[in-house]
Amino acid sequence: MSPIESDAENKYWRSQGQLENSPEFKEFVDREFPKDASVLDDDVSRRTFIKIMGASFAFAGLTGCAGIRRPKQTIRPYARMPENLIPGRPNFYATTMAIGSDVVGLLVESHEGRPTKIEGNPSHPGSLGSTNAIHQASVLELYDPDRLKSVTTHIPSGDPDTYGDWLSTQVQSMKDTQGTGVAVLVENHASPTLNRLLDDFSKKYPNASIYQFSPINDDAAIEGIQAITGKRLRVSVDYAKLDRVVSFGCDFLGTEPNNVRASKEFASRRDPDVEAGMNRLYMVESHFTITGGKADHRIRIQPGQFDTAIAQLASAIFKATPGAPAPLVAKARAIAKKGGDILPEAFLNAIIDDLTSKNHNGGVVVGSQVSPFAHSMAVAINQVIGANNLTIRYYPVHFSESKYTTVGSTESIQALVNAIHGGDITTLFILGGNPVFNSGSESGFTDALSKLKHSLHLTQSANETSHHVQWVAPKTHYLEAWGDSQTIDGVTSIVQPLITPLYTGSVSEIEFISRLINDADVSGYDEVRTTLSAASNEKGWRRWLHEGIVTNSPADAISIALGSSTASERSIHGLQVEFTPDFKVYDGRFTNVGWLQELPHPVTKLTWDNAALIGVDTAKKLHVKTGDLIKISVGKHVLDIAVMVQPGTADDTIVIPMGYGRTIDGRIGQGTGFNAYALRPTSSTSVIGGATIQKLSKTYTLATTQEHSSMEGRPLIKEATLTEYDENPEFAKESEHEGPPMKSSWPERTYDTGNQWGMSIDLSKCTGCNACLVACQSENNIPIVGKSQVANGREMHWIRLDRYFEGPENDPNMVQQPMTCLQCENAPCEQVCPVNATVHSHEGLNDMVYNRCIGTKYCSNNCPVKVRRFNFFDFHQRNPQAIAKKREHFFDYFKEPDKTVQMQFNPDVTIRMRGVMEKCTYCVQRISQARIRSKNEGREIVDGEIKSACMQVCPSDAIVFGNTLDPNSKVAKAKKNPRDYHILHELYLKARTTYLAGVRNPHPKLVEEKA
Amino acid sequence: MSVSVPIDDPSKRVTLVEGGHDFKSVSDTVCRPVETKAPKWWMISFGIAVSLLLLILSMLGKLVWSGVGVWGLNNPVMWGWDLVGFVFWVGIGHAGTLISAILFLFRQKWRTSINRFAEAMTVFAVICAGTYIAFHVGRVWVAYYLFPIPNSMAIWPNFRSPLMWDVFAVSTYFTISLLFWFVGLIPDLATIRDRATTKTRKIWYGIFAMGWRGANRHWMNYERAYLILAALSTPLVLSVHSIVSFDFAVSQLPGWHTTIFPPYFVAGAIFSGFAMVVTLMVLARELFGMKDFMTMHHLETMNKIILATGTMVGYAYGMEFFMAWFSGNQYESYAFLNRAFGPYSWAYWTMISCNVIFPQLFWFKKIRRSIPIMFIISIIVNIGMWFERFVITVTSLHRDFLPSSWFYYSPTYVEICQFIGSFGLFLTFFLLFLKYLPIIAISEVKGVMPAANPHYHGEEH
Repeated sequence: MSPIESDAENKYWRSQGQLENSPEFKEFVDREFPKDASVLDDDVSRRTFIKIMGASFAFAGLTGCAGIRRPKQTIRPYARMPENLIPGRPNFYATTMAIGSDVVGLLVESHEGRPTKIEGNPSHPGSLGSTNAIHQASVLELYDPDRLKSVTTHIPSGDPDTYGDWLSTQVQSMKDTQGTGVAVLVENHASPTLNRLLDDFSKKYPNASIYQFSPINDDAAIEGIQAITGKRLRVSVDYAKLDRVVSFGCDFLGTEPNNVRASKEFASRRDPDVEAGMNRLYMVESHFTITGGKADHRIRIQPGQFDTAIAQLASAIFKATPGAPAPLVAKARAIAKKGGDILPEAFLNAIIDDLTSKNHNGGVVVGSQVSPFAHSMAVAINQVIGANNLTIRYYPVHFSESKYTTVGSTESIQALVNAIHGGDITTLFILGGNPVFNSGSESGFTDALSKLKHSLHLTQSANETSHHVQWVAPKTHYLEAWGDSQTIDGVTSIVQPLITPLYTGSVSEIEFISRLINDADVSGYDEVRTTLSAASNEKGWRRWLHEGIVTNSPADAISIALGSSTASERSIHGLQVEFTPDFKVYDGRFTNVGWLQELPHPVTKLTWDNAALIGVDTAKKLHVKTGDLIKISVGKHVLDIAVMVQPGTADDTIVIPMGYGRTIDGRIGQGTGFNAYALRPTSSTSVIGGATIQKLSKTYTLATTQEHSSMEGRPLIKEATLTEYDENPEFAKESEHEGPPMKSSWPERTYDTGNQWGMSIDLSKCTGCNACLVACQSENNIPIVGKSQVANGREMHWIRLDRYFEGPENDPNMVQQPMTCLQCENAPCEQVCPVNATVHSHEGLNDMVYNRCIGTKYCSNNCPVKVRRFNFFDFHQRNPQAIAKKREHFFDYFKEPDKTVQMQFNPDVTIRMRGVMEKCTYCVQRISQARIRSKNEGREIVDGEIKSACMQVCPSDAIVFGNTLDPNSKVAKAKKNPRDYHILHELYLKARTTYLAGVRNPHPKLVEEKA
Repeated sequence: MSVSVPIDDPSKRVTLVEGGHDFKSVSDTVCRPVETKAPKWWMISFGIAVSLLLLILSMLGKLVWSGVGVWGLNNPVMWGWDLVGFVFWVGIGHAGTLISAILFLFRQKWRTSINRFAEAMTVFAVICAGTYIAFHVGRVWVAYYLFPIPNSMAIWPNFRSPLMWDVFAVSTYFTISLLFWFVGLIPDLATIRDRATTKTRKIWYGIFAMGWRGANRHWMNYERAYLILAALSTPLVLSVHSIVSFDFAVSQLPGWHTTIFPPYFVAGAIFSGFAMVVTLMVLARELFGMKDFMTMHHLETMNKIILATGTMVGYAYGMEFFMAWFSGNQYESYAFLNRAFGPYSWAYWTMISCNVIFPQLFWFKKIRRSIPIMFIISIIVNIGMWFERFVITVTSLHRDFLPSSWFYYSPTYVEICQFIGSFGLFLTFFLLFLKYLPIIAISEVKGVMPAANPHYHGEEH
């Protein structure tokens, strides 16, 4: 077409030629391209053809190398937009995660249908808005590429495709025989729907049996309470109301169930200015836990001495406060007398003074791994001092009407093994768990499995148990399946899936049992709705899903009366070996979760392994040091394990966290740690005596993130007692710089307008639980680096929990300090960067410009707190689960994170390449989101609208973030707190992150005695 | 000390060229390596040097391919052998400039027979240092961000950063040193051109002689240019290593943040540079038979400078400790106690014995004039100076303010091979220099011979 004619009338013209309508212009318009470009229109000569083709190939080659790289995969737009989904803006859904009886409600962030980040559900009583490190890491477990992806079979020449037929045959034969010879083994659970289905299963197949097993359980507690009250009950403690806590081995802030809620409540009373008064914690424990680290008084005793210690306390309490049945008094006195004085007299007197005081609510809590006798005694003491039903409440164990819950794990699995050996059970369905690995060295479970005619393991990933069964079927992750959970005090919440199961064919326990009952697939959704149907209409159901909880108020507590008998006491002597739940991998189920493996243990700072923890004096006596391999023998069982000398561990005691040393595991967990279950006879053994050790000639590398545990007398963490604080609230400022006024070498910017972000960390509340560290890792796409790189000091965590010991080497105190970029206004890093890759924003953030960074590492050298992290390698590519990238051109030799792992990445945060520095950003992506949102809504950002990932997750509410210029903001108020101090104040960093000095509340009499 | 050693008579000038050379024999001797076939030892050494060069190239290749993680650096210790190597090589370069420029301005005529040699060393040492500064970064492919290149986002380098100053200091230093060296070479290149018997030699030396005809005007311009370049180089001797020391002194790390660093670093640089010159000269004068030009007097004078600068360095070590105590700053005090008694005390005491104790032997004239002993001491000094940089860089970094971040650093084979390989880079250049360029400034040496005196009539002076 020629635009000339129509253009003729047009008053606009393109050139003189057009105006004149010259032939050259006409030709130009007709041809569209300049003359020389259309050589091919001419008769093509051979030579020109070759010339042009040659040039074209050359250019094509160039673009192939460096130019356009179009993705070769198909991309698809949404043909129909899903409801409530705006690309780029995350949605949050309520769900629930349960481990045994520990139930925590969650809000999960979902980006375009991918769950990426876990947050606590503020309406759920088990969470109150926070989570712990394990919950944070569970999202990575969902995307674990080593998960079981389809049914496998260990039947020789078995075909996985015949699984459906096999299952139908099983159901048919169960129908025929009413379930004769069939058993189901479930883990300890808190799901009403699963329980309803198990009951239905028993009704439908009356000859079938149900067993329940978990290696880490609170059977000791239940047994102890049952012995004295006659009922199978669990304890729920209200730490918010408890003024004086005496804990016997109860790590309620760390590994005990309900630790998130306990941390929240406990921390609410760790503020010296709180109206109800600061609480006081006495800790009697065998090795340091984070709870012991927070204690105002801590006594080390051997794990075998708990019975004597609590009897000593009970007998003193009973003497001071009448009301205990006489047989109990006699028993307490007898045991106390037999064991001798474990608790020092002054310590005991202080406790008695506090527990019997009319002004304070006192209470005794006992760890779920401690002996049943101690639990019986604790109930008695709490009853006598009036704590029961006031701050300590009792609830029936989950589903106590069902038969399978009436015995403990050890008894249950023993019954199962005996039944298999007796030929009563020939078909076993194992739903979850890993009993071959963790049922104990004397359970005989592995042998029993081989006697079965038919066996199936429903599991998330292949493990030791699935190796010994005929059929292995994939189980869904909790973020993939419908379910429900009930807390100890009876609050029910819904487990809502965030994503369709990643691997087709995987089912939840609920769906599996339902299949066995109905011989047809019923969705988990329907089953859960059936369970909850009694009280729900559609609107109510939606509301539950939205809130994440079904009922908000706890059930009524059971009131108890003291009987006169207790559980029997233990007698353990010699060198004792104690088995504890691992802070990171729990019972071993999380060994393949990289974030948890690389998480420094809050006390030992150990990553990627467990170790035999031995006290300083005992290690000297046994002539072992950290990294030595020793052989521990108890009876006929032996374990080779590395030693870690750990201050604060009881004498003649070896503590081994359970869960490590898996033999069949994914690429992350394989080859990490040592298997404590090899020494542990049964799941009810928490401690055994009479161990002998033999030092082996080999050593083992333990990768820790902190090598030096002394503060070297430097004023880094400041602490005072409550009395000192009351006398001088400004104590933290006293050790600050004295001298001439400090001045920066450069003109100082003033930050006096807009939002000036700042943070305050309350060391009085911080327990060092590490939740912030994993939350940060999850939010900010921080890679794991592997054991050897941690051993070389290259871990990438943006937050470091600095743990120091102070006092005698063998029995020190422990303090914790979260350390991350302080966002100094006079940032030393910014001044030395030669390329301006780290600069200050107008809102006071110390920004990293990854694109600009060339990696001189000078900033890190000049950072006084060493919180900058350098990408020495492309750590995401070096992850053992990384896969070879599809090669698209000659130079493409790269690896990439596994496709599923990529789904976890937060799309709002850049993935950093190797060679650049990174560090805490105060979650700048969250700040940006809030800024955009507030601008759209035409308002200012309100206080609390932006929560950094660490602040949001913190179960102790120790971290406050916000605008320091807003006088009403929480952070501004925290900075006005007299305890506020700058770390390394004399460097004139003008840090935006400041600390609130820690305050402890020791008993005045004990302080006097110490002085 | 024994009286048998004759004491220099200060009233008399020492003969700078021995062996009764005249102008022709000087030219003949200096040009001989260029004009004859390479000796066997040269071929063997060159083979070794090139293999070491390949070693550094392969290590750099691995470094770029895999990332800086192939080194042993870790979180508190982000600089290790890389920066140590950088400062070490820059320091060595300093002696060359000092000999050429400062001694020239002070009319120290004994410099003439060694200045060429020392300048060549400077240029090659700075090249070695340059490889470290370029490759220590995480992303070497964007290292050009270090230069103030105009760009559309108007991002400039950070002129407050000492590392930025380093870039300018070292590049200026390299440019000036190269020019100075080259300008000095011109008359001698022309000499070789004029003596050339092969066409290749004629053409190549002719190109680089830049048309030198020895005309009066040429000499006038040459002398002036040489003087100007000497004047430009002189401040560089002090400034470059001062700026290198700012990398440390301007930071706030205990053990780095001290005002003594600039003079201390300059003294250390001259110390190590002179030691390196002695090492190389002892070998070269032996191998090329140039003992008449590089006389014992030269070597002795240099040993005196090593003694002087070594003592200055020793003083600085002591002063650092004094200031650490005197300041009352607990972090500073700890940093120095940790140097002497911490995990790296072995490095500290190696440094002290090599740098402070051994050079003191040069108080004895016999030792100053003993070729084997001075050769050994010169090597010890260079080992000591390498350790000095290691001690400053690593011991300060590995334990700073927060004990929680303390960590130990050990190098990997890549760092070690890279450092060994950097000697290959240096030696390759240096051996090529020995073979293809006049290693003694012919025209200048002639100028300090008695024959150059207009009143000379062939008598002994």
